[in-house]
Amino acid sequence: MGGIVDIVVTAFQFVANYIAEYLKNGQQGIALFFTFKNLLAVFGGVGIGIFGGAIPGITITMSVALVMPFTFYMVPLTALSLLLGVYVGAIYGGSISAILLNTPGTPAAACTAMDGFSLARQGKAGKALELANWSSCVGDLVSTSIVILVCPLLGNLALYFGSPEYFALIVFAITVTGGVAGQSMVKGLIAGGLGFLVATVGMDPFVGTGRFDFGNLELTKGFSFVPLLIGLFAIPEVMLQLNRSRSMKGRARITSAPVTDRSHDRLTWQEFKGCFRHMVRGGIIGLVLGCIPGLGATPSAFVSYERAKRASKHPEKFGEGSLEGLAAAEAGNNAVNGATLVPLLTLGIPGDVITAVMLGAFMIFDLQPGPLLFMQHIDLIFGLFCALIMCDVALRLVGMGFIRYARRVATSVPTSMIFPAIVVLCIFGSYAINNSVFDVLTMLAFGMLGYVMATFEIASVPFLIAFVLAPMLERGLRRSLALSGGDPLIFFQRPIAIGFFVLTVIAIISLSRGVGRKMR
Amino acid sequence: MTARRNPIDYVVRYLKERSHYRDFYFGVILLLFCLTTIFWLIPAQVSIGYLAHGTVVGPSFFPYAMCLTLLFLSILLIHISPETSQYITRAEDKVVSRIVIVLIIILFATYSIIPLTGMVPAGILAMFVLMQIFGFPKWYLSLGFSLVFVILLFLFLEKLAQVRIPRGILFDGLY
Repeated sequence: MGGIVDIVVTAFQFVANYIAEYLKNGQQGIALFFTFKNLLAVFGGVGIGIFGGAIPGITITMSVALVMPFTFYMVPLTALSLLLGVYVGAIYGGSISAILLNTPGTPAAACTAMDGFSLARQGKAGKALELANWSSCVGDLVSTSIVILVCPLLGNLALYFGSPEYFALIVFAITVTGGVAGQSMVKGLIAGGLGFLVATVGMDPFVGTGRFDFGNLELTKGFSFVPLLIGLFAIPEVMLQLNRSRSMKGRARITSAPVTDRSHDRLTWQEFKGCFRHMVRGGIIGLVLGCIPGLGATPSAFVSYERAKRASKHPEKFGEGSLEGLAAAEAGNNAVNGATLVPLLTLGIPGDVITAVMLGAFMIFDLQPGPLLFMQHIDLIFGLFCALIMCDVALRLVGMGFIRYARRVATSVPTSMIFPAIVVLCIFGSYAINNSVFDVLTMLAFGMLGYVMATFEIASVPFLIAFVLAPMLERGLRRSLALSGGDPLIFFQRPIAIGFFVLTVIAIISLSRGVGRKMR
Repeated sequence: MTARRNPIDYVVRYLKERSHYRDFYFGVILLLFCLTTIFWLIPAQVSIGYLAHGTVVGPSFFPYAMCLTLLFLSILLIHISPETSQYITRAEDKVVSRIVIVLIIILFATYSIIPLTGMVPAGILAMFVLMQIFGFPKWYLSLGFSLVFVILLFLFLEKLAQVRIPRGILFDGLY
């Protein structure tokens, strides 16, 4: 009996301490975040993101990559808030062109197009856009709130992490991101291998001698992350768009039917109430799927849509302009925003390309996401949580303004204007990071590589993730072996490291089964 | 009694069959790249060998490990190329179209004139030419838009972000 009481008392003390610590850290985060600059960064970021996402052909990654060079002159929280704002805004922005043009601005918005475009053809584009905006906010808010409550608990793992644990963690991270390998696992592995190889260019971190520098001083520093990112994701898209624009004539037109009765084009309280449960469910589905590295927003939107269809009283309306379907897809789609940050912040694992970009942004500011971040920069983590919540507020406010005044502008900007502007942004942005013209050359070279990879249908995401994780993997391995005097058994003497290796084996088995199923 | 097949004939037929698939070419290029890196680039460019004292694993360990992995994957890609890529028809066999080559030339030309003209004129010129290539209807509007966009970008970077944009030999001291 006494034992049970002790356990209950200890548990109670743990919870009380956790809440006290949580409130203290929360206060620090609020104090750090609520400045004019940070709020401007969030609202501005969401605006830029919505605009970028609404233009077909401009991906979320491209939007974030183009903004990134301009964040270097900001303090870390402002810069990260801006990038988060762009990310959140771009995911929502994808739904605008999906609804108005039946051209999803982002792959995740493909599900939104099914019902959204049908509604637009019925003359209810305004209603569809407003519901998409509400669903994005509610879905994201549900998942973000849970992330904020649970995430710091995982941060307590920090105390138990040494070099072998880090090595095992990175091995696990690389394995699970195999999910982003694209259609072919072999091609995904090739992209990852090339990313690793490119990351070895520059000064060796232990011995201090050059690797593949060809006597060039610029190359001894290795390739800069941002020019590589811009080159890999923006330039190939411009080239592909140029090819497409040659094969298409005329400009895309908004195909919504004329609105005869304005009252039919507004979202009513009854309609919102009827869709609310689908938004919350979508938020939870997005949270669960977003936490799993490699899945991202697209499967989340489709799973949420499917669940809503099963739960609906009118499943026959799905695909024909169902408000429930639209709400579920948008909520599931946007709910991954906060969730993908869980593996990034707690373990330092980028779950998708955007979080890989965010990881790069953290590293540029000398911050290493993962367990230690919770020990050293807890105020920044809570500041980021505030930014996530504010992103939802901004999404609602900026989103509504955008729907009312700018939707037609964004969806009718000619590609002949937008893509040349992107090229110039790429050139200036690459230069601005280190004031180096060599970075412009780096960007162009990786642009060519990205185009070749796109031509051979090789995903660029594993390349980028491997490039980001490679230095950590090498450092973890070499430091651990130096500690043990070359004995590899050091990796199998620590319980956390063993745990990650077991998880790695499970991940390999499940990925191979997935590949086997695909091949059958 | 059937005649024994010559192994060279077998290899030639194997490669010929696969040469109709696009991934075969990527596999071959990757294979050659890996062999070049293993036998020439790493020995020439990574000065300390496989094992370095004190660190147990030397600087060349990772490059070798990655190249050997890529070598294996390139052979695998050649082998499975009929499954991963489509049969090349005459209409499709151009990997890079003419317009993309023009774009690549413009990009590298812009980069190479930066030391001469600086980034602002190079950017305006590149944007104007690209807008024409993308099919913007009125040339004077595209010139105006290029001027305004690049100058605004220049002002943002110079005045707000405090980045000094290169002026080039021709315009040094002018602005």
